Amino acid sequence: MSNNIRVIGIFFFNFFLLIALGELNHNLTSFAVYLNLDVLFLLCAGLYLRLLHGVILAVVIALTMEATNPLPFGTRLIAFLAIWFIIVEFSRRIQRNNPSHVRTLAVILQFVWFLCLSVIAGQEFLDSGTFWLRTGTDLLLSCLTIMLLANFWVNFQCRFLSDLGWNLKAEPQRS
Amino acid sequence: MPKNVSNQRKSLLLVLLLLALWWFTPIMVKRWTRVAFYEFQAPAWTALSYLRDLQDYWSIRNRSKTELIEAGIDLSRLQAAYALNNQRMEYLEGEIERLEGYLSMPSLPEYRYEVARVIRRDLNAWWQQLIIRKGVNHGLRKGQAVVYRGGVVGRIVKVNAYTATVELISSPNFRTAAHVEGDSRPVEFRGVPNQGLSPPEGFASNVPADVDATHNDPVRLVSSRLGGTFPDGYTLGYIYKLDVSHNGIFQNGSVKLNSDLSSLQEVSVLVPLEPEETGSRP
Repeated sequence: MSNNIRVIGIFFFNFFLLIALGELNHNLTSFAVYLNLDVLFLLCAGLYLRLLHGVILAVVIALTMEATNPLPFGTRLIAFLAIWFIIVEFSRRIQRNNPSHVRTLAVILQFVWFLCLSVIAGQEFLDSGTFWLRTGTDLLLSCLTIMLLANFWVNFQCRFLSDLGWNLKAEPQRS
Repeated sequence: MPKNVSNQRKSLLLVLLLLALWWFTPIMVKRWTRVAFYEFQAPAWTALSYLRDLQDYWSIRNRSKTELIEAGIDLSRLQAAYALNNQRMEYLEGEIERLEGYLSMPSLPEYRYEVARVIRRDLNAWWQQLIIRKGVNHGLRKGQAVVYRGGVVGRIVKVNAYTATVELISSPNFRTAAHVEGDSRPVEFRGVPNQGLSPPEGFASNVPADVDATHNDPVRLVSSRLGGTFPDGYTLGYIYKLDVSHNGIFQNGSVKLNSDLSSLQEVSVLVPLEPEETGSRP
């Protein structure tokens, strides 16, 4: 099996996560809470996959997520490419096998992206206290969830590829 | 070292190349890509909603026969009440038609109810939308009104083959004409950002100065056909307090929406009837 086909497996895992997250948010609506875990989808692509595989995965995930939301088409694509680039750059500066490094990077990126998304999508309500209260609640919960899931999800995908014969953890880290 | 520099440049070049590619992609191709990616994942969302229905079915199957018999009796009573209401409505419709003819007034638009299950609820601070399990193939079109037993849900903003996206009335971008129950003067209703862990809210402006609303005697805000989307009389929400607006002529107030709005499972789309359909209606 070639590495290209193995990466398709990673895409389907992320697609499954997207569906599961959609279902979770569907059930959380009665509590008026929303989770956004966008950075989680890009961690493995940025930290472990080769550049071409990683960037293609980021683009496909961005377009998949973008198709169901009312933002101008392309907003998420641009943002995901930027996040992927930052993760790739940081993968040269942090220890990707160190859980706290990965967790910190994920939380910081998620925090910044969530705020950017709030500014882009809520342009008309930036002066509304209620808007920021709701954004704050969702931001806090999203960052907390990503902190708990980041390492698990990255390791899960690496283990999956390792079972298919591609041991990413054994490959030298970008320097 | 030069190798590292080249690696760093490679990732940046890749990003810039893709951005340039996206920038020069024609709008038609972008639109097609969006639809293609939507239709690619739509079966997964639909399958999930069918699974939810199956789960509901099995939970109902576990009910005892006594419970089902009691529910059947309640339903037959409700059916009898609705049959009586139908008779009354037919008489009133005849009366309206007679008066319309007498006064040479154009008749009001008529609708059929297209019931649809909710596949996915996507409610956050930025947008509030539902995806329903019916689309173009069921006669749904962009801009049609969506209602449920508690009143207005919203309007359709996007239609695909088997699914449609509904913008909720609690969505910050939603605007419509409304009026206070029993008063024909127009009021503006709009959605506002909603707080977390609390029921949805809206905002009413341009409420006439002589309308009073108190906590003990709230005012019901209903839809108005002036907006062109909704027929008259469907509940939008209740106003408990009104404040005088800046210009001093009108009043503004927060509108409490039904909390069921954030846990809807089934809605009805109001599909306008064509003139020939209206004539052949039983």
